[in-house]
Amino acid sequence: MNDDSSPILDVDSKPHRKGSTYDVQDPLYHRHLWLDQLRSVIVIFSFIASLTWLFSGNIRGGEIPVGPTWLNFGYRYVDFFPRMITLVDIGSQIFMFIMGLSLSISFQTKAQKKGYKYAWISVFNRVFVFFWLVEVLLMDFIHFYLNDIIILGVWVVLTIIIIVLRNTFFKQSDAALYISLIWSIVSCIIWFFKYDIDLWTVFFNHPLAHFAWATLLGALGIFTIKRPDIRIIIPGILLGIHYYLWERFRYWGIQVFVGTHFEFHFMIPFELMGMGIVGMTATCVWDWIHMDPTDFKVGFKKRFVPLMVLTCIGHFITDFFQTADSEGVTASIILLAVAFSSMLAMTMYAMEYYIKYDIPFLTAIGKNALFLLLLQAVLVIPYRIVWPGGGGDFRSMVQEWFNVSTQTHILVNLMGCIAFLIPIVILIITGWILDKYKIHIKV
Amino acid sequence: MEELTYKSENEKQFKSLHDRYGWLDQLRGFCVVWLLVAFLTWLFSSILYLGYPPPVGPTWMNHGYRYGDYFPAIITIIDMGSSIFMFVLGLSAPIAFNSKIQKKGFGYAWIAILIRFFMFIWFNILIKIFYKIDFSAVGMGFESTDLILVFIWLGITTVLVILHFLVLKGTKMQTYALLFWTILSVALWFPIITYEYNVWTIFFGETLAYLAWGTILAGIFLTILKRADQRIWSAIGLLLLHIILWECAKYNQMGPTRWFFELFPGTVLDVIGIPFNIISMGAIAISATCVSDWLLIQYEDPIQGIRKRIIPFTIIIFCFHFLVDFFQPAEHSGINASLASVSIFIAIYLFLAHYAFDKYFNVKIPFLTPLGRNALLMFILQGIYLFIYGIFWSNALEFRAQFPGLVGNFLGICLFIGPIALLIVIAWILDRLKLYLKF
Repeated sequence: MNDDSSPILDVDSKPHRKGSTYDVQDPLYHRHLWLDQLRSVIVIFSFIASLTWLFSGNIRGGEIPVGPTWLNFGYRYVDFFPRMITLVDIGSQIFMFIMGLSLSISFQTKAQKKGYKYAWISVFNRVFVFFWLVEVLLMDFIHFYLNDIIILGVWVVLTIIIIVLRNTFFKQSDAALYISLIWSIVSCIIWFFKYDIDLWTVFFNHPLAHFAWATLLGALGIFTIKRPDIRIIIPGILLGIHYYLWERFRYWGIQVFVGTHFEFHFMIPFELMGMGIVGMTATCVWDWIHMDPTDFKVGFKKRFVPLMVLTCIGHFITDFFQTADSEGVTASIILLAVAFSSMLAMTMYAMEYYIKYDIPFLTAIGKNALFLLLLQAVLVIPYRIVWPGGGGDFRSMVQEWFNVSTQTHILVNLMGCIAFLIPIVILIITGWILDKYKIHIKV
Repeated sequence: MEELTYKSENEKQFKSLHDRYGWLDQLRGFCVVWLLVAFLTWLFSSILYLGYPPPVGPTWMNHGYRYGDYFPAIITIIDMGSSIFMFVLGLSAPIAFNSKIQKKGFGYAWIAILIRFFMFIWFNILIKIFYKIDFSAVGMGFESTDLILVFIWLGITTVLVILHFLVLKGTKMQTYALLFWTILSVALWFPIITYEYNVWTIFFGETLAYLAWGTILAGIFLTILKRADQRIWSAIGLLLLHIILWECAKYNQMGPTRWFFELFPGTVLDVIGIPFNIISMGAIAISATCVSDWLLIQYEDPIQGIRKRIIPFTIIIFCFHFLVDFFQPAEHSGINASLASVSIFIAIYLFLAHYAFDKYFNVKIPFLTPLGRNALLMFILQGIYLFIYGIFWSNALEFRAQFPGLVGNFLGICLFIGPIALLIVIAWILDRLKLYLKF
């Protein structure tokens, strides 16, 4: 996930920070701080979004949400057709775009260093870890039956054995990755048998599952079509298919594995397709940047900017016919996300190589982006328990605490502000501590 | 920090000030396109909570309150549009102001600002008159006194144009004559609409008036506080003043921006209110002048200014917005402190992006430069499109009823792309002919 070692260094773009990962002599391990910075911007915004989502209110019923409205999903503000699109609605697509960029770097570096087999195993490892994380995140933490305890007990023993093996016999060897793959597959299978969620949710209907499939599709694209100018046709075609299917079969579905434990309602995985398109496009972008290894700006000028302008125009036109919707990741929102991600990526790239500025704490957060994304899910759990009713619930409770006349009283607003700031500060401090001790959790 | 304003005396520095127009024009062009789209989405809005047909055009490219008018409002980039445009105007203010001082003196620089102020107000009046025209009525809906005023104006304008070419050209009097003409234009055209609009609306209550006052405030603070590091406190002070006044006024039943005091009932000076929008626009314009000056902290290396001042300020202003929004949620009407601060944040981001595109990536997005070079004219032209469309449709309901389904979608896109394309063509031709409307 965070392995941004690039096979080529930009000769003109000298590192600006001493003591950073730039100092590593091997150019294969050049770390792109702009990607870390970009990732952490998304992590912080998605964290804010998870809080605004939680503190939404039935605005038509007079409930007042907590937090900036534009930092929440449009449909959580008020759910009309067509939906309002905010920055948060395209957040996961932007994250996927950044993942696609990283994927291109890590896959190609690994293939170059240790062969395609190794590169593919690391991709599969990442994919299964994502599926396993879905199972963990959606697990019922309250109800455990005997068979659940046995299953998870087996998993704990297996995990301990694998950790020991990885850090003793197979340390520094390629076999460590094989063992990780085995662990992720086994974990995925074992945890599924806790039966808290269905196959559809684990494999197709969760943002992490979308990331998993998009990673797989992205890697497949890099592996099969080397030239990005040709590879970009695939997401283009997929976009057309997505458009058509959404138009015709949006509500289509079928019940499969009826009568078994695996029964689920199959629908066309639109989100997955959308994320795949974004991921594959991002892999092309990375290769375009390296079009001229001596001057990365050539790739930006000849391909990246035209892509940004075209996707922006494409979104504008498509939206008249099929409106943007974050549920289903429609063609319109895909195009918007690619255009916006491109602009963000270019700005952050210029921030590193031209302006030479690191926004404080962002690099530290970006290096542990995935972990901190998961941490945010944990940090909001107490909020879910205390204020299940969202913003309205929060405001009435605080109003009662302070015995104030209105739900928009300054004290209520102040508490709302504090409720947001505390987890954000925890997130930043955690990211900073982990980075200080060089603990970078990678998938 | 090194004092920058009034220092660009050598020719080299001047030359460099002009080099920067590349990114500025691109940024202006970008704003013009967005504003046009926003005008159109505004016109083709729908009342969704009543179950009306969908609006025409992307929802996020319209004002949030046109999507759903609730408290707190949903904020889109369009809600920040005029503020961002103010910021872009403010960016060029120190460049224009200082070079005018150097070339022709302090008085000249201020006369130029006053000309811009009165031009904005005059355009504001013209737009109002434009909407008053009734082609089916005798005299197009105007009174005979209105026509007399217009004829007087035409006469004086003709005299001034002749004087300009025969006597005044190249002299200092030319500027004074132009100022005289703009003041006269406001004075002669304003009575035409007084039956419908008062002083408050025309001089304090419309977007062009906000831009006018923003320009004046930027000019005042550029004059008083030459150092950007000091001047920025005046912008922060204005935002804090806005917060306090908004807090006092927010309990008014009609909303803070409708908190009026009666002055001279029955006259054009019937009411006055708190000029919330002007306070914010002033803060935005002053911030922009500071950003422009910070860029020259170290003249030879503008990046230093970006690193040392602009980016830290951007981060601080975002944090400011984030905190203030809990207490005073961003609102378009009145441009409260939360909206003003997020607008400054987005505007600086756009500025940095365009600056990097130009200076680092050496990229120019096609057609934005010609649009940017005539940004004010393009901005005004948009009003004409809106007027023409307004004759046929007043909202999405009428349009969709006339053109349902796929035909409506297709025609909708044509109605949006057509004027944009026309605007680009006009800008491109004007640019080819080197015709730029500046004031």
